[in-house]
Amino acid sequence: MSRTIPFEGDDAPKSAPAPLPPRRRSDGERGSEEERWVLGAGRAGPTELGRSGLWELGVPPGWWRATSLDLLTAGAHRISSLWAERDPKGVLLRALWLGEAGTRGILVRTLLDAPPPRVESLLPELSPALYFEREIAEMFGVEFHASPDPRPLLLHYRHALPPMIAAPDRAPPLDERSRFDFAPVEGEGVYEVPVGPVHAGIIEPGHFRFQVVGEEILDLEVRLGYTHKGTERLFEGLDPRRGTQLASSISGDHSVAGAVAYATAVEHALGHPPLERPTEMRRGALLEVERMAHLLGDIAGIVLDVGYAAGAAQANVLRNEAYTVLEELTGSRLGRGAVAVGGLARPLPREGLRPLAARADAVAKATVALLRHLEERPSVMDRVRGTGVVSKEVARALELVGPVARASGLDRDVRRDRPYGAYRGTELRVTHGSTGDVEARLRVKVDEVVEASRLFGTFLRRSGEAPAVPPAEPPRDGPGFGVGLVEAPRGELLFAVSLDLERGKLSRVHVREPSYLNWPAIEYAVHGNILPDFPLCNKSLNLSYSGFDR
Amino acid sequence: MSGWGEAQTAALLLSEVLLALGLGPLLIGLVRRVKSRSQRRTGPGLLQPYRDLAKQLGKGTVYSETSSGLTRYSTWIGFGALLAAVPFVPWFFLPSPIGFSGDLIVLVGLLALSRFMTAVTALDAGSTFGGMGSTRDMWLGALFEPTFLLVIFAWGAPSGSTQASAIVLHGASLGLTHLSPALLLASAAFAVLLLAETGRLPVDNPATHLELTMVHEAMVLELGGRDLALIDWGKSVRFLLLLELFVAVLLPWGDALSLGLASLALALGLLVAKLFGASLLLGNLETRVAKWRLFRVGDLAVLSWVLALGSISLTYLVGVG
Repeated sequence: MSRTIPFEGDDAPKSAPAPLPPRRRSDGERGSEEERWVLGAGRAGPTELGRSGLWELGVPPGWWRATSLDLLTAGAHRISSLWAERDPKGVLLRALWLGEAGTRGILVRTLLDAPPPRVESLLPELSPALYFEREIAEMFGVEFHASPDPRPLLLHYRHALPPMIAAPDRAPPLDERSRFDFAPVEGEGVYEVPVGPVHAGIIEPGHFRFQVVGEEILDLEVRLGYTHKGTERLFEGLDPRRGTQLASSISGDHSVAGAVAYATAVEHALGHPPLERPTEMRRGALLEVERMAHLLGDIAGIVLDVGYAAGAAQANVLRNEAYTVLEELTGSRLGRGAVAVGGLARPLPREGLRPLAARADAVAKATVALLRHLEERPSVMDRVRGTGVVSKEVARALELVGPVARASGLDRDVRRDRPYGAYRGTELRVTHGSTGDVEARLRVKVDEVVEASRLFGTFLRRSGEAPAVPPAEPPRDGPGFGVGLVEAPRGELLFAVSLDLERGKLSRVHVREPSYLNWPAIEYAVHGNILPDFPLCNKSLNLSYSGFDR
Repeated sequence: MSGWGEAQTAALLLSEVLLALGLGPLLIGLVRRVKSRSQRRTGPGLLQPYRDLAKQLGKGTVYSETSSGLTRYSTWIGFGALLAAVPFVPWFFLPSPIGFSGDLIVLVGLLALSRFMTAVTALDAGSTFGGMGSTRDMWLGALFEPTFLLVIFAWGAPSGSTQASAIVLHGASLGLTHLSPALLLASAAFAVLLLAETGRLPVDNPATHLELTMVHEAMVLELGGRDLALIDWGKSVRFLLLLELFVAVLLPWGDALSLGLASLALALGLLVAKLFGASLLLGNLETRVAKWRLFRVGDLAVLSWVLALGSISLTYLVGVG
């Protein structure tokens, strides 16, 4: 274990960077896509990874950037996540790349075994890599060569050793703040507005640095990390079956989605046999009713932020009803403790399912009626129309996910593109907008509430009578690594789990919340907007602070 | 000018100020209650604003390190300006004890002074929000204060006076013909500017927790204790003053013209009824609209200005007044 890696910064010896291997020239010859990865990697071709439906491809560090950019441009893949893992020989980098719907995802890994760990940055070509690389740099001490932005992401205090390398209790943070310079904007009449991390309302902490002329926002930079709890580290050493609790509390407002994504990843890693169909249906039903409640909370938030409290109250009533349905099914309003590795933690009630479906249906109808009501309020529609536009180009460049991406015209939904569990073989209507403003996000969310209630009814009907309790002892003949991709209410949620199969413990859990990809969108959405419209832009994007910070 | 003796004048003045101080928070509580109901909440009791004031008055004050010491006086001056404005509004007896020609223009000036003192207080703390809120509030003042004057001229046109008592006495003497198109136009103009001047929806949301959208609340974020109580109390007095001016001119009937106990009691009862009615209407209106985009508020000012101008045109050019 490389414990002597200096933290990126002033103390590091100022030696010249080691020469990096030359990048691969793009060869004109076009073989099949897979052959080209083989050529690019100069190693054995991709191997199949258990039942997770992924190809795995190992490349030497020198090929990391070339392979990634090839996947991005030639392969038309998008990066879903990029993370690191401790390895006895150094630091292991992994990236999950997803292609078109229905194709297998490609998991690229590289082992940085020459200290200090160093690799070429994927910036500026790959915008979403910015946050990933900054986090890996501060947490694992990996140096991303030629990165345009080496600032920390989550840590506000400097650490003598990267916290994911050295145990936190052995290397507490130094009593010295990390250097963090906001991008300056100059010009006559430009002033800076710092907002947060403590806000006037009771919301999560985040710092927003606005550059403003009059009321118009020229630039915004977000600083997060105030709720960083080292959650990924907390997973390490846990019995995999106990991790669902932690997984569902990362973003408490989609705890079922978190638990299902985690459980799916663990099931793949353990080599779990496919779940019984009724069990999958029950998980699907929980996911959909949670989606309803979550999105209604969003809708309430948007309506409240335009100052229309009566409409927001109605949306909150509907949200409450959806949570009540979830409570009747699981005994917990937030659906906590319902999902377990290998199935469900407790059987769903068998009686009274039909009335629950009817209640969800009534909520959906009332949601549509609420939208009609809002449409008749010019003062409401004027606020949401044309506000906080995230263009399709920006959405694509940042690889946004979820309702936010769909409102900007990106047609992507994990449930349809990479169906899992109940969604396999289920017809799904994915709606998407085109304007990318707050109104489009509002409408997409209303549509998704309706579709979720329909799916909820379908899944409940199909959930049958089978027992839903997981097997006593999970198998241990899997690949020891698994990925779970779930469409959470906020969008694509990823859990990647590495297991120590011999000891039956978790050795590394990486979670990439949808908000992790969506946070940068706020910095684009506010351009040209006025300061008092920022909260509305923010609310309509519904970004999770806790999910980002972990 | 007023036909009251000295002792009577003093007593009446005192009663007006006490009435304004006492009734202001109640009306705020009433509007909040109406809004709570529209959100399917019971809401806090009607007396909650008084409890809040008592709580703030019982607290110590904390000043920003960048504060120049101005804050120690400015809140008092602002509050005092509002109290000084109280006698220029017709209450439940006429004529006003210290009324004089043009007293409504003094009222506009005193309201502007209190607005200025709040803005200065906000700047004194040296926080960005104070600066932001005071910019916005001064901008609103620049938009609506000229309209305020125009409405006063429109109201005063029939009686040929800008003295509140004269306007109301003249109106009451006309009977129902008082409710002329010109008066209704001017009152509509005033209703619009009332929303802006008192910081209600759709101009400002007094209930918001979103600091970036705030106008008045952004200015007082740095205040606490006695200073905040003075500002809040002052805001409720301001609300009451403008609402009372509105109902007094629109419905000028029922004021006591002598100091008989029965007529005073009746007039006071009518006054409270009118104010409650107006507050309920306002609260209902507030539940039906969203907050407007900040720069759309300029449209409201234009609307108000055009209505007032229309009223004056009717009176002078068409002679319908």
